[in-house]
Amino acid sequence: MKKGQLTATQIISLVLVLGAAVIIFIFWYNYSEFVRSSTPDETCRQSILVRATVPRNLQEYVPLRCSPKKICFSLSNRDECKQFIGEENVFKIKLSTNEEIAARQIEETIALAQYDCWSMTGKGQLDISSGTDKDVADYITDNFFSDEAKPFCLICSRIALSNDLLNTEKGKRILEKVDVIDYMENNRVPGSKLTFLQIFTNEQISSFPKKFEEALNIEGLQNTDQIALVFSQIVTKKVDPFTDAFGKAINFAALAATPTFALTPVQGLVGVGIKVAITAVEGLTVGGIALYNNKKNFKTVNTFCGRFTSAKGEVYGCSFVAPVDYRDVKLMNDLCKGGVLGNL
Amino acid sequence: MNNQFNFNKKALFSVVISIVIAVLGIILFLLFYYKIITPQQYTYEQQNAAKALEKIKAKINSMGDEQRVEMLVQGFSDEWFLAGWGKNDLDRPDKCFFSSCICICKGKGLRNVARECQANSFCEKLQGYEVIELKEFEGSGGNVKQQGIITFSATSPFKRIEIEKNLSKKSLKIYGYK
Repeated sequence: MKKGQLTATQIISLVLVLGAAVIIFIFWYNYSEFVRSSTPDETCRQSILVRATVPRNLQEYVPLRCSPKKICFSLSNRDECKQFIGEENVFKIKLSTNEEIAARQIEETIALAQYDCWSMTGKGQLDISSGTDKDVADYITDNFFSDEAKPFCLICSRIALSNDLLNTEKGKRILEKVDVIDYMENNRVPGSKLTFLQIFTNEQISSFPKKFEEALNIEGLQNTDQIALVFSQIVTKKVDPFTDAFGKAINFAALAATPTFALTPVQGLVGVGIKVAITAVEGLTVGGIALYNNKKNFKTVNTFCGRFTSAKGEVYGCSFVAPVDYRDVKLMNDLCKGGVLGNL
Repeated sequence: MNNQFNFNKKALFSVVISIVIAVLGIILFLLFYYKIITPQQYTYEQQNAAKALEKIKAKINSMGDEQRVEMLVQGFSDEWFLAGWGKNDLDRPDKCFFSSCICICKGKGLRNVARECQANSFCEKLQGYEVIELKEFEGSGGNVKQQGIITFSATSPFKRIEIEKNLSKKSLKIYGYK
């Protein structure tokens, strides 16, 4: 063999190395394409899943690719939601001219957004707190040795009303007809035999008791023109996370202390608009522990308490998705005290 | 025959070793690429601050004259503050040059705000504002907590701010609420 001539082994090695490089490139390219072409929900879902399952020291390399869906309800093509001025990726829904249909459109959109949020975050069973920028020592101190439980949160959607809905008689009539709870109680999730309510409550309840419906007409409603669907998660060190999370988490009690709201323009108008947050108040007014004993009243707020799927091993806690008044900074801060994941 | 088998075994071993070395080489190259060639310019915290400032600027530029809009600013895990300087303010950070500007700066903003904003800050120029006024309130309808800056802290992940723009008066008002 001449000096400098390649042996068969070297050629095979070279081919194999090139082959491996090509495979790695194809994998990388396809992953990038997948990320680019995926829907925002799918991208977010994948990033949550990957982050919850990869080893802790790799989690910082898996960014949470989640941004809230921005939904604007409007009666016309011209009117925009001023709440989203200067923001990108706003999804505008022009409501039907028929008031009944328009009200159903609002109900359906909110119910689906809440369902998507719950489903995207692994139905509350994935440890989304993992992979934050805190170092391990801080994380452990904050979550396992601190008396104050700090929930993490993710803003799944922001839903706003345009001026023409807020300031016209027709808009007000439409908002008066909106009843998200009723919609969730009587409509099935697409592709499922169960209603939204059954899915949100693990099939425990199929209808609201009369007493509870009466409780909806409570005083202290605040009006808002924007709600946020917030996924919040609290990590605890106990096997009984419900008691631990809600018993000591004064942050969560803020839900009870905060007057609920209706997505409606008319001050003091009770019984209209988006009333889902009231359930959280109903469950928590008696105190943290009462919620544990009185879980059946905690209806439209999707809740999961138990052991999380986490790369950190045995991690327990509670998660829920709740619609909250986006303008209520105090409540938002209480639900997100441990940190906000994703973008606003 | 036996020799051929031995040769094949040797060749196979050599190929496997080559593949292992090649794969390790590729992994090292990728790590080198991500860590050295494309270093993270800013920390997560700084990226957040820059993003928040961009969003505030986008709101200001998109809102109409005499309009008042509100927004939530996603918080930080350290202490930062928002400050602003009109065209007529002399004591501006160098980053603003001759324009009016708003800056988000690391620190508490306790002493010389302009000096604190010289380093470890992000600034955005805004054209045409002679007056930029910032105030921080205790709560909605509460007392003024401080003037000139709006603070962010780790204990409050969100801060509500209100922006009021008046082009005829060439003024911009930004209010922060605890």
